[in-house]
Order: sequence, then structure tokens, then C-alpha cells
Amino acid sequence: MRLQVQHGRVQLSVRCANAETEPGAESASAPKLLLLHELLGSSDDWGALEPLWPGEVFALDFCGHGASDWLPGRGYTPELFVADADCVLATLADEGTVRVAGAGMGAYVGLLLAGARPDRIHAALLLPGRGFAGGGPLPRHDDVAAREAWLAGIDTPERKPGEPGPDPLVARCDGDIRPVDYAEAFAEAIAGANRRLLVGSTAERPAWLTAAMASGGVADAPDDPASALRALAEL
Amino acid sequence: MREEPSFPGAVAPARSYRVHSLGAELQVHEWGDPDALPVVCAHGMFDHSRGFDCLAPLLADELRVVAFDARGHGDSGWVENYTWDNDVADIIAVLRAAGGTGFLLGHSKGGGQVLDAAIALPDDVLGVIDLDGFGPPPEGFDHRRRSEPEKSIPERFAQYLDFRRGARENRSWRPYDGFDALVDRRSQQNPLLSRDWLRYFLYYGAREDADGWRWKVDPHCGSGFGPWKPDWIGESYAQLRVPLLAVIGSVADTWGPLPEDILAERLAGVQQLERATVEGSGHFIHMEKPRETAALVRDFVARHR
Repeated sequence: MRLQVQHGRVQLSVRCANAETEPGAESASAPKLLLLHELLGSSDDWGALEPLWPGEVFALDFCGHGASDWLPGRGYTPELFVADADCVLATLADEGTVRVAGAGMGAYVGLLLAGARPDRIHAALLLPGRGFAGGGPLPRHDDVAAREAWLAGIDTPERKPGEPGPDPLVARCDGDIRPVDYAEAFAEAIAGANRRLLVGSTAERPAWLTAAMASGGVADAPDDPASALRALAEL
Repeated sequence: MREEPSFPGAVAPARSYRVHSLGAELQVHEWGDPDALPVVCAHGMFDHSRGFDCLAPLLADELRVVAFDARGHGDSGWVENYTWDNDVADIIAVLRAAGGTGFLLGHSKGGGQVLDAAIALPDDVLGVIDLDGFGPPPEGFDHRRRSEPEKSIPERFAQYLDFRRGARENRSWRPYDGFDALVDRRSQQNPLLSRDWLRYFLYYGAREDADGWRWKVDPHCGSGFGPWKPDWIGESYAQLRVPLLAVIGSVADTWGPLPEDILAERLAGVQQLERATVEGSGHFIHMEKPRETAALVRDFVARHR
């Protein structure tokens, strides 16, 4: 079953699993889970894991991905993807009971969402995947290859009717700059609100994550995603 | 309906057309011989391309002047998220539509963006004229207006998220009772611009509907969120491989110029730097002093074409 959530002019598609009543309604005590896929991925990536969660699961297709609309004007940024996730959060009842698991870029999005909405996010699990590292903590002004790739992207055509798959331009988020103090500020907001971050133990440790982990309130999660999800549910 | 205005020295474009760029339809205006060397002009935040109506005719005898409305501004299309990179891509799209090789000129935000476009296209851009577009002061443009303690990054980001939750509804300006009320508003913000000029310029930046006059610009322009540091500006400028004419006005106003030590630091890495100060001008140099601006541009173009 899918929910349609509006974010500005974009219609986002959310796959719902384990719903006992109307998706997102005030219901059982089991926590709700919001799943955020990796860059160029989709909500389908989580299929095998959803049955392992004890409560309702909401797997978002970020704009430009899966069954969601491409972004008019195509200005994709991780912060806009956070706003996608936040619009889904706004549709869910049960204040303070939502947990988030993100892979790759979705992990970074999960950090920012949990830091901005500590009143709604109980804990966030950060798992590896495409877009996890981003483009480093500082701009690489002298990276000629990156500049040429950016130039080539200017000619990326518009979506043709019925064309499947993600907008190729979302891949620009691979180069997203993630300054250390920026990530730190979100991690500190999470720790300051006594919320928790779990980090997949096999995930690489880019600078933004190392900074976030130094802020406290962070624990290692088990290696495999299924066990990590169980750990998230038990927090 | 209000009649189309006139202003001494202002000349309407000779040609107009649309260019498609990354999901946006851009409104483009031209002056001069279509076979002449192009100079692509990018305006500043909340302005529009008709702000070049006084400068363009002073260049049009030797250049193909190509000015366009940035996405979300003037008569260009609105998009869902405004990013610096896509604005830069739009400049490149307009230059390519105009033949692919030429000069870039930008004012304020457009100045910083034409600089970045030139960094991306060192073989196609012959030179850059930047009219007081060297980034905000380190403390930001709005520090004088702040009365409350500054919020943390996550707190400000939460405000951005609140804004995005209402992005479908909060997308129109309040109507002004009459055109003069709109002129009054802009006059408060830019007291150095004459009311006669504002009556001309704002006519093309606003439209009248049943409720009154509204700005054409998308209220969402400038509402994006992301990490950015003033220190990055100078490091980026150092990548420029074409000549830069950096122009400021001699009169400090709300938007410029930067303190000299900060401007000099940001420009320190530019290899082919020329600087000029237009006496008696504030931030809107091409609108306040079009003749002096045109003389600087013509001299720069003559030496680098």
C-alpha cells in the first residue's frame, strides 16, 4: 500500500507496511519506522527488512527517486530530501514515537532530520550505502574532474513520459559538502534532547560522521541491517 | 492598466525569446547585432533583466547584449528549489544559446554566479565583469536587523522545514494597493535609486491583478538551506582562469561594497584582476551610473576580446 504525500508541488510516494488501521493513524504502542533509502535507490530497497519491524513502516521515495515526482527545476540537495522526509513525518500521528533508519544519503538525511526534530524522532539508525560520504567537509575548488562532470550534467534531459528510474541529476548529491561543524550541530541537538543515534558498525567513517559521533549519544549498531533494526526498535 | 513607462536612456530589448535550462524556462532579452560578440548579463537577487535597459543600449553598437531573468525572477519560470549551482548552469545555458563564446557580466548575486560560470568554462568565456557581487560580509547582510540571539543551525533548519511543510500554500506576495505603494517599498530598501527609475524598473518586475500589484519574483527565491562559509569565496575565485574586472561603487549602502580588507582578501588569488570604483554610485552600479559602467565595460572588452 502506498501513501501520497505532498511537498510543495511534488507528490511523494511512501510505501506503507504492517499497517493495522489507516496508515499513520494513532494506534498501537509499537513504534513507527520511517525508512530513507540511499542515493539513486528507492523504497523498494527495504522490502526484506520491513516484516522484521514490530510496528508500522513508512518507506519514502525521495523526490527524483522511485515512484515520487522529479523535482521541478531539479535542484536536488540533501536538505530538500530532509524536507521530503519531514513532510511524511508531519502526516504521522503519535508524537515522539517515530524512529528513522537511513542508508547512504538517507543516513545523512536521517541525522539532519533527527537533529531538527528531536521532539518527533526518538532515534535514528545510520547505515552504509550510496551517498553516505558526500563530497567531504570542504569544497574542492581545484577538482577539475568534478567540475567537468558537473558541466556534463547541465545537458541531462528532462523526464520523458513514463520514464522509470531516478533523475540522473540526483547523483550530484554525491558531491554534497558536509562541514564538520554542521554535522556536529545536529548531533549535539540529538544528544541534548536525550535522543539516540545508532551507526552501522561496518559503515565507513567520513568526516561528518566522525564529528557527529564525537558529540555523544551515539552507539554502534550490529553489522547486519536486520539486527541493527532490532537494536533500533529496542532503544 | 498602467501604461508602459519610459525613462531617459532606457531602451527596450530588440529581441526576446525563451531558453530551457534544467527544468526552467528562462526569459531572455537582447540588444545589438545578433552576429556581434555576446555579453551575457545576470542580475541580482529579487531584480530582473530589464534592470539592464540603460546599460545595454550603451554597449549595443559593438556587442550583442544578452540579459535574462534568473529562474524564479521576472518572466522566467518558477521552480521548486533554488540552488546556486542551477543558477550558474542557467548562465551557461544562455551563453550557449547565444553562440557559446563571449563575456559575462553580473550584478550582486549575478556577479558571483557569472564568476563561477567562467570558472566552469575557461575556454568559452573571454572575461568577466562583476558589479559588486563578491558575496555577503562574513556576518551576513542582515546582521544589523537581528534583535534576538542567533539560533543554532538545527533550530534554523527546523524553521526551514516548517516553511517547506507549507510550501504549497505560502507562495504569493501580498498585493499592494497601487503601483506607487510598490515603488515606496523598494525605495525604502534602495534609497539611492530614483523614484523615476524605480517606476520604470518595477513595472517589469511586478504585475497587476484583481487585488492590486504583486511582485513577479517567486517568494521562495533565496529560501534554500545548506552549509556555506564566507571563507570558501576567495578559494573559489582563485580558480578563475580568465580576466576579471571587479567593480564597486564609492558609496556604501545596505548591500555594499564590502570592507576593502575583506574584498581584497577574496580577490587575492585572482590571476588577471582589474579593479574599478565608480564614484557616486552605491550597489546598483549599472542602474545608478550606466554611462560610467558602460565605459568600463567597453574598455575591458576592447582589451580582452
